Amino acid sequence: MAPIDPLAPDPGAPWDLAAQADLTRAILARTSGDPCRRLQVLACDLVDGLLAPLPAELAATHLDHCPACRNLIAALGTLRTVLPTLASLDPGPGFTQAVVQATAHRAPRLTISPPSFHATWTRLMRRPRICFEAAYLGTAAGILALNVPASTLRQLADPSHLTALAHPRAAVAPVVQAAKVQALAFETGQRQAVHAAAEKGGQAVANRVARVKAFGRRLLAVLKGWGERLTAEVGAKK
Amino acid sequence: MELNDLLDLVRGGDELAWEAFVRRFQGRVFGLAYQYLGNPEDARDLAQEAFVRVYQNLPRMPQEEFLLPWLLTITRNASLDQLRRRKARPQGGDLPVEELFALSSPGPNPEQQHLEWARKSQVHQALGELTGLNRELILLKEIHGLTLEDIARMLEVPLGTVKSRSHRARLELAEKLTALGAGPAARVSG
Repeated sequence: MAPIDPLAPDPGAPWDLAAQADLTRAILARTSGDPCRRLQVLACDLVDGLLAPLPAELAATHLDHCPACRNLIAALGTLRTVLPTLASLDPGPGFTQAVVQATAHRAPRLTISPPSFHATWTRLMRRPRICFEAAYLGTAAGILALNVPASTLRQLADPSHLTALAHPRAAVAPVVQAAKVQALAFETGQRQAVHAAAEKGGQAVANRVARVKAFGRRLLAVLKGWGERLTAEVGAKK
Repeated sequence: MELNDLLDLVRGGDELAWEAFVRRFQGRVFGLAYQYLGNPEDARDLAQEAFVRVYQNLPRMPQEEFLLPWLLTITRNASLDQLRRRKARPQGGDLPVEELFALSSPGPNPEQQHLEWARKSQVHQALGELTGLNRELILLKEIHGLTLEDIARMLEVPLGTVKSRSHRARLELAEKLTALGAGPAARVSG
C-alpha cells in the first residue's frame, strides 16, 4: 500500500479549476484585495507593450484566471488597432473642388500691411517709460548743443553774446576798430611790419634764454644748499 | 514632395499647391469635424469652412511639425462654434454610424469589409457613450495622434490632467466596448 501524502489534494474533494479560483479569490479578498484594480492600472501599458517583463508575466498569470480582465485587454487591443483608422475619412467627391472654389475669390491675409505711423506713435507714447526717455533725450541733446563749438545755443549761453545780441552796434565796435588798425598797418608798408615781427621774434627768444638761465641759477643754488647740509651732517656724525 | 516644400508654395499663393494641400488634409479635417458633429453633411460644410479659415490665415501657418495640431485646432474651434450655435452637444446614440462607414474606404473583400464595419461601428458606438473631456481625449490622442502637450494646449487643461485622464478615458472606452459586445475580441475578430 502506497504511503499517504498529507499535502496531496484529496482525490475525493471538488478540487477543480473553479474551486481553485474561488479559493484564490477568497484569500485575496481577505488579504491584498482585488487584483483586477492593479491590472487596470497596468492595462494600457500592457497593450502598448510598454510593461517590463516581470509585471507583464504577473499580468499574464492574472489574465489566465480572470475572464473579465481578459475581455478588457481584448477590448483595449481592438481600440489600439481600430481608433487610428478613424482619423481620416473621405468627405466624398467634389469636396476639394468646393474648397478651392470657396477660397478662389477670397484673398488670403498675405499682405501684412506695415503699421501706420499714427499707430506706432500712439503705442510709443503710451509706454510708461516715455517720460524718462524724453527727459534723457532732451538732456543729452542740450549737452551736445552746448558743447559743439559752432552751436548757436552755445553762443546764446555765453553772456557776452547775449549782450551783443542786445546791443549789436556796441558789440561790433571793437571789431571795426581792429579792422581799421590792420588796414592802417597795411598801408604803412608790409616791410616795416615784417621787420617789427622779426624784432618781436628776437625779443621772444631772448626772453626764453633769460628764463632758462634764471632757472639754472635757482637749481644750482638748491643743489649747493643740499651739499652743504649733507657735509655738515656727516661732520657732526664724525 | 516634402510637406515643408508644399507649405512654402501654399504660403506663396500657389493655387496648385493649395489644392494639393486640401487633398492631403481633407480626410483628417473632415474626420474630426464628423466626430464632433456626428453628421456628414454638417461635417462637410464645416470642413470647408475650416479650410477657408486656414486659407485666410496662411501667413500664420506653422511648419510641418506643428501643422496638424494647428489644423485640428482650427477644425475643433469651428466645430465648437457650430455646436454652440446648435446649443446642444451630439450624444453618442445620435451618431449615424452606418453613414460614417459608408464613407470610409472599403476593405479588400466583402467578408473583411463586414468585419471591419462591425469593429468600427462598435468602437464608434462606444465612443459616443463617452462624455466631455474623455471623448475629446480619445479623439485627439488615440484617433488623431496628437501629443499630450498639444492636447493640453488645445483644450487649455493642465498637462497632468490630460495624462491621467487619457489613461482613464481609454479604460472607460474599453469597458464600454466590452459591455456593448460582451467579448468584442472573440466576437468580432474571432
